[in-house]
Amino acid sequence: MAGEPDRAESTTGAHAGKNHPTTLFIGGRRTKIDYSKRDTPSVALAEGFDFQRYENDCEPCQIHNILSELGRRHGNTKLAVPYGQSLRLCHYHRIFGIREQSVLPAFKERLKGAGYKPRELERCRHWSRVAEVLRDDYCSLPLISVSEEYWARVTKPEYLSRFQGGPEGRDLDHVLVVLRISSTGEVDLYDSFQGQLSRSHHSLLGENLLPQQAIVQLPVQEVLKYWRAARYKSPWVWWVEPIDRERAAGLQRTLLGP
Amino acid sequence: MLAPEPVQEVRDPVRESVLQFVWGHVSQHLVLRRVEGRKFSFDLEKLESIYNAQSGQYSLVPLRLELNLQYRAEPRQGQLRVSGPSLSEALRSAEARYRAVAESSQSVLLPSLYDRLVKVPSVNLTMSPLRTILVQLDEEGSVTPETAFHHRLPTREKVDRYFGLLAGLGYIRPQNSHYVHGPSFEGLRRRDIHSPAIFQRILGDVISKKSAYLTGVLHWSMMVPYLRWSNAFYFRSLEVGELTPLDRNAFSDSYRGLYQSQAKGNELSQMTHLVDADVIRKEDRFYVGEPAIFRAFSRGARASSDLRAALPGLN
Repeated sequence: MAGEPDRAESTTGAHAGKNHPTTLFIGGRRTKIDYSKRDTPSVALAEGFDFQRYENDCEPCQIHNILSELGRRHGNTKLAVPYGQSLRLCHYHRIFGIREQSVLPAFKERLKGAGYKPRELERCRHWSRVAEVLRDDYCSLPLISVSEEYWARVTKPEYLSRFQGGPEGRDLDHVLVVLRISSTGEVDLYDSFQGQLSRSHHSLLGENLLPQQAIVQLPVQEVLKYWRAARYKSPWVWWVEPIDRERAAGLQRTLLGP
Repeated sequence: MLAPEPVQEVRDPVRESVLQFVWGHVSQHLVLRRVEGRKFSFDLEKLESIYNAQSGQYSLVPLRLELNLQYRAEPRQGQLRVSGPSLSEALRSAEARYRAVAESSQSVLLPSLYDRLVKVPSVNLTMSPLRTILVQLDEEGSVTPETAFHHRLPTREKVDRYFGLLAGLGYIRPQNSHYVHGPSFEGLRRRDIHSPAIFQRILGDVISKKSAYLTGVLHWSMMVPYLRWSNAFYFRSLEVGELTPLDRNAFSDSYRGLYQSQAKGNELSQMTHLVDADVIRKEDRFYVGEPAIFRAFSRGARASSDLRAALPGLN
């Protein structure tokens, strides 16, 4: 495989730290950005996130989740992609799962009208890219894929009682939303499958109807291990951002002044 | 915290390219089974999550479909060209295999519940021509097509099929211009099984041994939905390895997953008929299985090579 096909522009959060909401135009649309987002607790960020419906639809579910969060934060209703539509855009089939190669082009087309585009990094060498996407208020929350080892680490033993080792390459990568990377070296992840597994446990966090198990907190070194060991295109990052970032940034400067 | 680490080295770039190709273009559930030179064979394996509505817990169990999808990697103009079945071809193959597993499971399950299925009113009604023949034979010692159906004679072709079906199983036998008790009928009577239980027993045996004939030739498809619902319930328990209570949503979802379609007709009514026929029980808002059916089904499944291949947990 070739080296990292890193097509990302710099996504360093030029506006990080500004905590007041403002309004600007992105992709010709009036858009509201809340700069307090990065200070938002993980539980609040994941508010209203869906659990996956099936065992193999984590990616459509998580794309649907990050788009709903981005749409909410940017005040752009066109970003909302219903769950069923997300499944269709990913060419989901109950037996086969999704067709990975179709995801990026399908969402590119779908989000064009909203003034946004999906971005993907394959063979991403640097975890800092994930942090940059997370910090950047223009971007959605980042998705990462992790290896099967992650399952064994976070899934309760009773669910895995009949889960046995098998032939190579049997197990599926799993897609997670990165909610927060703390300065103390912890990463908060939203796991739509753990949420599904524990939905009947009713262990709620705060006022959120979100089972505690849906937000997984792991040391960054451990996350790095699972991220790099995922089998498809790994290490992999996926997010959504405005099509015209320069225009968006220019408008931002005009609105806020130098 | 954010320091880069080297990406893992790939040992065999050809193999890795083929894997990335099929995972990206076809399905991430494909697993490599065999490599012969530049030919790579794949099967499908996915985890199924089965929700136990009573305990509120899931089981994750692997399901394996032997597809033998073959992809070939050939270097061409400095690049590697991977060729093989397209997504739709692979999908057709997987759906066919999945259907075959569901049908194998149905056939294995059928003997465990045929005597209960005949209690389902619509099944019983459809089989009434066979019951008519048996009742007359039992009461009068002999039966002919004319005497059995004197009030409403179905077409001669149909009547011949009914008689042929019962004769083929040894419940009746021709004697001169009549039909009399066959050896299988006599055998049941010797075991002190008499009417009306004997009719139930015989009709159950007909379903068990001639289900393909009933649906394929006589077009009696009335039992198909009930058999499918029964299978949708017990197959999940078979996957988990123990009787697993399902709520209505999980039960419906199991049907859709197994048959890749919605059930035809009123699903609640069909579920209720199964409860009335003692195929499953209803406890509070949960559907629970009958241990006797599940034990017999599990024994049959372990003897079925198709099901052993599909469910590694059975071995």
